[in-house]
Amino acid sequence: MQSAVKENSMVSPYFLFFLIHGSQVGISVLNFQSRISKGAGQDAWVSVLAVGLSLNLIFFMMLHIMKHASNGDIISFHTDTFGKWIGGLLNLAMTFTFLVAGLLVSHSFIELLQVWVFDGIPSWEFALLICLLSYYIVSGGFRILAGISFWGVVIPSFLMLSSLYLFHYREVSYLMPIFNHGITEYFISAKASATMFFGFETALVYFPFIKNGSRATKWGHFGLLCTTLVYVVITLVTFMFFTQGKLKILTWPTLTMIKIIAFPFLERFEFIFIFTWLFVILPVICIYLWSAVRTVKLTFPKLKPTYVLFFFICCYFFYSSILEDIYYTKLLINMIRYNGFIFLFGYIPLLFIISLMKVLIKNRKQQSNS
Amino acid sequence: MFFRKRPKQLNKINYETKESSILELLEKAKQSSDFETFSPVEKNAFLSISYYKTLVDMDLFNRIFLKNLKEKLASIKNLADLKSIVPIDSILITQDVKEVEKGLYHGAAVIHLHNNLQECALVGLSDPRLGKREVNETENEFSVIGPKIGFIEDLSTNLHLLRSQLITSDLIFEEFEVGTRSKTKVVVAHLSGVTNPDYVQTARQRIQDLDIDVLYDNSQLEELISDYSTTPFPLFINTERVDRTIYSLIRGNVVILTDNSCYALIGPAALMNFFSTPEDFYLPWVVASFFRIIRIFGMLFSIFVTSFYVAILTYHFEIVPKDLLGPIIFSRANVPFPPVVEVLFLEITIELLREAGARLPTKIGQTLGIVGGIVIGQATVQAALTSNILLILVALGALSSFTTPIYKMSNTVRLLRYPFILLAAIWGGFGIYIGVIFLVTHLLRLKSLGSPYLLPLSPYRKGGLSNTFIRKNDFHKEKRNKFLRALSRKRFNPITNKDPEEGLNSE
Repeated sequence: MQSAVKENSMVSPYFLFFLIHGSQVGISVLNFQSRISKGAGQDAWVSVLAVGLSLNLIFFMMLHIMKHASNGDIISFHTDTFGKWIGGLLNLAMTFTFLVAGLLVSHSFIELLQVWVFDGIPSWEFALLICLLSYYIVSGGFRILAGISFWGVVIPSFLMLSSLYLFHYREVSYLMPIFNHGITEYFISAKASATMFFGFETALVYFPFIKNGSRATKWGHFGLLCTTLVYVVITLVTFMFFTQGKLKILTWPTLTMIKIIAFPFLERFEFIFIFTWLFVILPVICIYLWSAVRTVKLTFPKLKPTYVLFFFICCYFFYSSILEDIYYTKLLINMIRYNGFIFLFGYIPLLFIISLMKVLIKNRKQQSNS
Repeated sequence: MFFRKRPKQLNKINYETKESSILELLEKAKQSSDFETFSPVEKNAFLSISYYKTLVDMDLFNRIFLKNLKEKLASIKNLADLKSIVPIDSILITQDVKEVEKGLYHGAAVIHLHNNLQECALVGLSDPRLGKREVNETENEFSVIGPKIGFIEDLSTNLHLLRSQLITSDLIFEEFEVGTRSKTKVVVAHLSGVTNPDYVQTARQRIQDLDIDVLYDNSQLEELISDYSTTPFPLFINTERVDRTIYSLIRGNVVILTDNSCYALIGPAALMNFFSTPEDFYLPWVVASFFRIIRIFGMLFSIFVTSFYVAILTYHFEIVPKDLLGPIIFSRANVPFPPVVEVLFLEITIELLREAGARLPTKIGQTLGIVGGIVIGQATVQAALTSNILLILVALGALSSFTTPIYKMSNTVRLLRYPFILLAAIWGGFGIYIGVIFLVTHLLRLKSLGSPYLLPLSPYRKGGLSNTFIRKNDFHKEKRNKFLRALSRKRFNPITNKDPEEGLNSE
């Protein structure tokens, strides 16, 4: 059960930046604007910023939890604190959360492809391709995963240049008046925007794979800040591009915005954008899958990880290819919204308090002993 | 992955027949027509000489060895006397059958006295240059500027070429014997104090563990000792240029040379090393960097151009602007095939031309190129089998695949096109991107002598970008790249300009 991470499967500290940033940015960047504008309207970018910055606090709590676990991850923390059975159950629940989150990403990407690019290709073909790719990546181990999330951040980063192009069409007055919303409205926007920050909770599982964990934390914070910055920029660009009324009826505001970009040799830039987005979503799916497999592997040491991965991949394939109806996507979204919200803003602070208490008790014992 | 791996049983069987005594060995060798045994004296023959005519330097044998032997024949009492009689330094007296067998095949003459059949003397008379070419101009890795010396099929010459350029005792050659039947000499060269011992140890270990009968060429060794054999990518740089080899040694690579092979293997290799040539270092660095970027662009262009054509014309013609769509439609108006058939037809034609050109003698090959390139290309367009625009794209793609300096890598680039064309035909642009991610993952998995193949880009090491895409100014190369984990990083101290500020020429 105690499997310490070997030196040769570890990655350099700066990979934490790419892992965290790569696992956060997923499909919801393409459609979050209309959801968040329901609350604070043109001021919703403040909520995005606030949620993003609050995550640094959550990350700090996560680091504290992992520091006081025997193996340096949440799996061992669970079993340390709650014993073998309850801890194991909690681990399984966490696996399920990760799996559903990963599934949602692949499911909605397939939906996106069918809406925007190919209406004639059945979804099982896309599901098969994505499943094969994720199997190939995840079975390669953590170093491959880190490499893919590196390229998954570096290659699509040129897409950010399109916001410069869109900046020409800005209408600053759309952002006016500033700060004329109540606290509850900001809170509604914040709640809606929290979904797109999910993903970095997987760091609880893979953190022992980072070399010099304590020095790597700054990279983690940078990753979170970078995500926040990107989201705020996208929100601002969108709000300056569309009026609030128009934004309410759009399903994919980012893509609608991208459609305006054209070059002399390329008329529909959004095709390139959507395909390149595969580079963005694959690290998310693979990190979730890998974390799920790792959790199962450490909880049930007798199961062979390859079989577990294969089983998960099969589940993904069947869910995405058979349950095509929009109802099932909604189901996933709702699950993620509640699960992720409770996990990040309820469960992790709870664990943080528990680990703080553990440290206090330990210190008191040591004092009474000496 | 679903089957448990059975532990491999290593069996130490020798595949050759073994002789137990020297006499038996000589008897068996006599079956060959080129083996000769004779006695230099007619009467009372008390000693005989045996050798392979085809391996011995006959000039040396007749003029020095036999002449001296016959003059002082009478003074020979035992084999040790030979050392004072024959003025050849490599004389070995042995009773070991294996030693004798090895000596015979390396061009030694075996002398034994008739009264003592257990012992014999081996006189080295080999002619290592017999049958080897003299010309050593680089033929496949050509450069306009710079030395044109290349390796030839003789190991000692190749080692000489290395030794004469690196005047240092740090240059270490370790020799191994590979092949149960060919007994080919393999040399692992490295700079001690510079090359990371891990790489040397890995190479050494893999060569020692090899079990093979005949080693034909270094490129065969490359496949046998590479980390992953099921990949289209070459995991070692395969070069015939001496300057490239020297440069790699200085950087901290391991070089593997094989007898009978005019190529050196350089490892650990990274993907981007394949796109630099020695000529980069003989040109001004600005120009050289431009050329290197052109080469990398050429590789990408060559892989993706036709697959994008297929994807766009099959699925995404919306992304082509209206003004450009006109010419494409006009050129394709009479073509009866879907884009993928059209592309495969032309790509395979080009591939046939290349293969035919490579197999034919040079002069016919050139004629064929002209016939193929101009006549077939023009005729297919007129016959409406392909469109004009595609012909341009395919020709450009083929051209740019040849810009890759290492032949093995340019083959890989050409091969990679086909999966992308097929993926583009089935799933359009999405298929291409799926292929790209497969490719990236595959490259991430590859390792060369245990070091990642995408270094220094991923995992990113300091200076990775500047080392990959530009050729740095020589004055900025005083330190070795970190990613090769060399033992010492300092190469030299760059001197600063000491010219007087106000000379005659400044005003």
